[in-house]
Amino acid sequence: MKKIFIILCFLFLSIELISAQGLKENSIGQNYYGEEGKIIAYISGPATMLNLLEEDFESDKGDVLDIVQLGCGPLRQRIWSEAESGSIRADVFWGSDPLLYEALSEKGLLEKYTPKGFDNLSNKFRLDKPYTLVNERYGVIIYNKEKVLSDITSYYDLLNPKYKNQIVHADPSQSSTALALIANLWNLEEESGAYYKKLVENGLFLSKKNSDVPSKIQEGEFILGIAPHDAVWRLKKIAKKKKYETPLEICWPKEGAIAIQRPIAISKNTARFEKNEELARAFVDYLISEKAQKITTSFGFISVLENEKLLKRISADIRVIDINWDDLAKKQVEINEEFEKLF
Amino acid sequence: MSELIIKNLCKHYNENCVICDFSLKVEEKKFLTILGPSGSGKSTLLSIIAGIELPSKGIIKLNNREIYNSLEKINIPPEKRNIGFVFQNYALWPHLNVENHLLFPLKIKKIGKKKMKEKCDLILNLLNLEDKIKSYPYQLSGGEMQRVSLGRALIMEPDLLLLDEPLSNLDALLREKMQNEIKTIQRDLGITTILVTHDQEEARKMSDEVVLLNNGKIEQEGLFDDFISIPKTDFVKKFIKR
Amino acid sequence: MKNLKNYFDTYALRGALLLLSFILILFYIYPTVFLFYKGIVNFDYTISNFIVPFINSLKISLGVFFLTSIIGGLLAWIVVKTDFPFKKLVDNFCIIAFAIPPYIIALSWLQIFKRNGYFERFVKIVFHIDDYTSTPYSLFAAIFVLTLHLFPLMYFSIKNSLRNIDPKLEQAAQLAGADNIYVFRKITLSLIKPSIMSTGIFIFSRSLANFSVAALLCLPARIEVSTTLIYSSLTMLDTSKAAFYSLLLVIFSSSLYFMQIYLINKKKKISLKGSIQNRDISILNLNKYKILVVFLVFLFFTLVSIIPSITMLISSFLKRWGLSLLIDHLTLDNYKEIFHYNSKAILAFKNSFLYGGVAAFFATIIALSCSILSHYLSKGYRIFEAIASWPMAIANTILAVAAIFSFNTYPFKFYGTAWGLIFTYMVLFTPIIMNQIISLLKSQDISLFNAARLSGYNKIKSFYKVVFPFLLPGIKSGILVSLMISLREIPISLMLYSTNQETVGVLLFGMQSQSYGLEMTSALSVVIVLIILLANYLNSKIKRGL
Repeated sequence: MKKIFIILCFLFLSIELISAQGLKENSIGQNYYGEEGKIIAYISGPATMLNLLEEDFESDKGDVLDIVQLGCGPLRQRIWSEAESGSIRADVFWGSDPLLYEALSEKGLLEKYTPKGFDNLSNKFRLDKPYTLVNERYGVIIYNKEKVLSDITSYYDLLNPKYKNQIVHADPSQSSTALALIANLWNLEEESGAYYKKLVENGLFLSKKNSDVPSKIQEGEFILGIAPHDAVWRLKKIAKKKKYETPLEICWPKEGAIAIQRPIAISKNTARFEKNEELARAFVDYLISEKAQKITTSFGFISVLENEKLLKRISADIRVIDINWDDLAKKQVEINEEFEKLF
Repeated sequence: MSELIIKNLCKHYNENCVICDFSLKVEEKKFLTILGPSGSGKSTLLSIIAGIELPSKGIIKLNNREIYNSLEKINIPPEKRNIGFVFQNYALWPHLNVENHLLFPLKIKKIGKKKMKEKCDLILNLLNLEDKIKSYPYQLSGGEMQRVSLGRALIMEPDLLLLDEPLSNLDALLREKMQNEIKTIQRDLGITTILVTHDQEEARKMSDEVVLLNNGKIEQEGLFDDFISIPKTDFVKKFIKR
Repeated sequence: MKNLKNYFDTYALRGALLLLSFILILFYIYPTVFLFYKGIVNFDYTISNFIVPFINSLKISLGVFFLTSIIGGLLAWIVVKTDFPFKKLVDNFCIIAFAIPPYIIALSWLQIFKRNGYFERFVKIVFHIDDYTSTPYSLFAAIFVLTLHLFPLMYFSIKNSLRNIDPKLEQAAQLAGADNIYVFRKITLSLIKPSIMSTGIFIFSRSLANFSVAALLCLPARIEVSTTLIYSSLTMLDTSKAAFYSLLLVIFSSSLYFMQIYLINKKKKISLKGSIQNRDISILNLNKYKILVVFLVFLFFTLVSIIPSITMLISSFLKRWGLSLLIDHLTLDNYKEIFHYNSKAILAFKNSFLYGGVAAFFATIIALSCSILSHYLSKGYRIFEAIASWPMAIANTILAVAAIFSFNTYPFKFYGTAWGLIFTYMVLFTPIIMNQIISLLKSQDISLFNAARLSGYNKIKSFYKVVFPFLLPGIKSGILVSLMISLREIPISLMLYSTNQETVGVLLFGMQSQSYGLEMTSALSVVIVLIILLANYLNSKIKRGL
């Protein structure tokens, strides 16, 4: 009996010891509990791409990066929960759209850092914000080329009754990127939400994630959908490598493809070690360097750099709709509710 | 002197008294039977004496030691009362064989291995269980289980032996045999014993004295024959059959 | 209160009780209170949004409860009460059924029933109905899938309970002239009701808290349930709303739990006679029905375990799900990728086992302590049991969010360390193990405990020598279930892990980031199920070997 008691005490003490490691507290009561010389990054994206970036960055700096790979949704939830609980544990985090960053910026939780190489960015990516845009991708129409009845050129092609119940789109209540897509097509017609109303009437199906859209089209469950283009790019590459045919195709709609950027930010923490602060900044610098940009574009993302020579771009005559993220951040709940009402 | 003295014992459930102002004296080496209909409180009484149930008030003294006294706030736990108990359902442990059942009460006493074996062999012999020594409860017949249960209680050399309707699950022939066996063992070992039963024949055959219990109260106590010849209450008259 | 002194006559016991209280407060109450503070503080939420999803959740939970009771009960009855010939096989199939992760069952269901799925193709080829489309998304689909996943729990619970019934109780009824069905209805059913209720409440709560299956099978049909609503609130970065809705769920589930305790408490006096000495349980001879029963049981398991396993297996060899089954389209690459995948697969399995194992160990100690207090002491001590079961109704994601809230700041900074994962798992596992322990405790006759005491052993020693061995099988199966869960759990892992703390759940989720489809998830799931089966096989070998 006494043995059990002693064991329990021992456990309790060891818990205290383990958790009390490396705590540095600053004047406003913020904690920093990272190791000196190592930064923590929460990143979403294809695992292979992240591994390549990590290897490349560390080949220069050494083992300084701890990447926690997350999906877009979990990354949002986790960062936000950490923010609400008092301190964001990640030093840097690279997500799938600016909405989260707008919300955090409003709370003053992001550090304003202008990266080296800021001037190399295309004009439209040079923002006066406490986050840096790393890549862009576009919401486009994805379709099964073997099953469509005619050429697809416009969002209105999805309203063709011949495609009833064959259209898929991610659920905005489950994915913030999907919400961005919807918000931008919301005012396609004069009457707000009219386009989506018609789409719903044509049997729009909502999937849990954006990545489900090309998957489900490829698997034959649906014929058309709206989702970011980069996944299709990667799926085609895999099909080629594994030697099977894929019927996926992208259509750049004449009304415009919807531009969604992937930002990175440094969490504000004055208790951070000097060395770590340097590393965090170095990582942001790295991501908009040519080397890193080359890696990301090979995965289907579009570069933010103003350098035509080395990097692939989409054809200049494709129309792009840019999102006003500030605006969207304010209206997101409203749009979500309106959208729900359509069902 | 393993004499049992009970004074003014009471046990209440909600508003009702299950044992009402019960007093009794059992002299050492005597075999007492507590007889009564179901619900009369017999088993409860036994549990209280053993210490596995708590009374509301009263005094219990065994071997000149107070094992329960509500006024003085004395309550000796069951493991320290040195009372042997044979349960109605035998309460054998499925994961122990016969030998381990008998050794169980000895192991806590920390006597030498040799001595344990001696005592064990004695009891096995006494109860004719030698060839069942390695058997498990599920391999035993009703009578054998009953004997193991008895052996487990006896090996402790208890001051008091309590038997809670131990024979009610056995068939008539076996019951009679066991009645004789128990009586013989009790006489030979000289252990103060209390048997609880609703079987009048059993009471008459085995005990030195009988207590008739009804609704927690003593209707009559003394020799069984007196119950027949000199019934003290109407209940006694009705309950006891010639 | 006078009696307290008798119970805690050593300082060690008092200290242990204090420590237990501290642990319960720290890990079970503190995070929930923190979370709910968040929910209540901004109270301006109309409950009206919550009502329809909540009713849907209730429908699912009730459906699962009834179906699992019927299926589990029927199977248990066949195995225990008749001369059905393949009893061991039924046990094994049930383990397989539980080992398959619920979202795999959901995915199998989808693979079969979705548009262009196997079923549709089958119908088109065999019945030549060209324009047939099947749709797999409905409330019933969720009920069905969750039932398939959870019925083994009910099966094992009722089976143990049936085994412990004193056959004399039923024989008495039979001798009085009752036929089998009457005996079952009037006697057997009431005797096994406590098990059905306690396992049932557990199944009900877990169905209420389930997210992955509902999201996969209901949401696409625009059927919202409480958990999808909670999840979407989190996506909208509205943690307060998510916390508030979770609070409502927990209050509801806790009320049910208390009701159930109260109802069962009343019938405490019925003894199930766990001290069965012989195995003479009355067996019903199936005779002419034997072949029919065997056929039906095997048909059931074919549908439930074998078909999903096969679809999973086949899909794991496809280059890409959706491709037709030609040789050209088959490959071993998926399996190769798993073990090449960041070379983290092995680390992931190791972590899952380690964290799961440690968490299960702690959970067992807590569950055992709370069960003992609840069973042997006065009613007031049931509060310990209630607190330890609290987390049953909380969705995994919310548990993780609560963990972040409570353990990201002074003085308890477990978040970010492996302990954060371990403690959250511990909280998740405790009700599972406690459920097993309590039903076993209740079914053992108290006379066995008393006999040990009267043989000279104090309460603690008596418990250890005579009751604990009886509890071991339940503890083992509880731990096994917990380990199975740690091998496939996703939300908690994702929300709480850091570098080098990846678990299999993280791996599973990461598969999808690679634009891999169902074929990769299938391959990984096949590996997981094989590991579980291996572990189970080893476990039974060890038992026999000893």
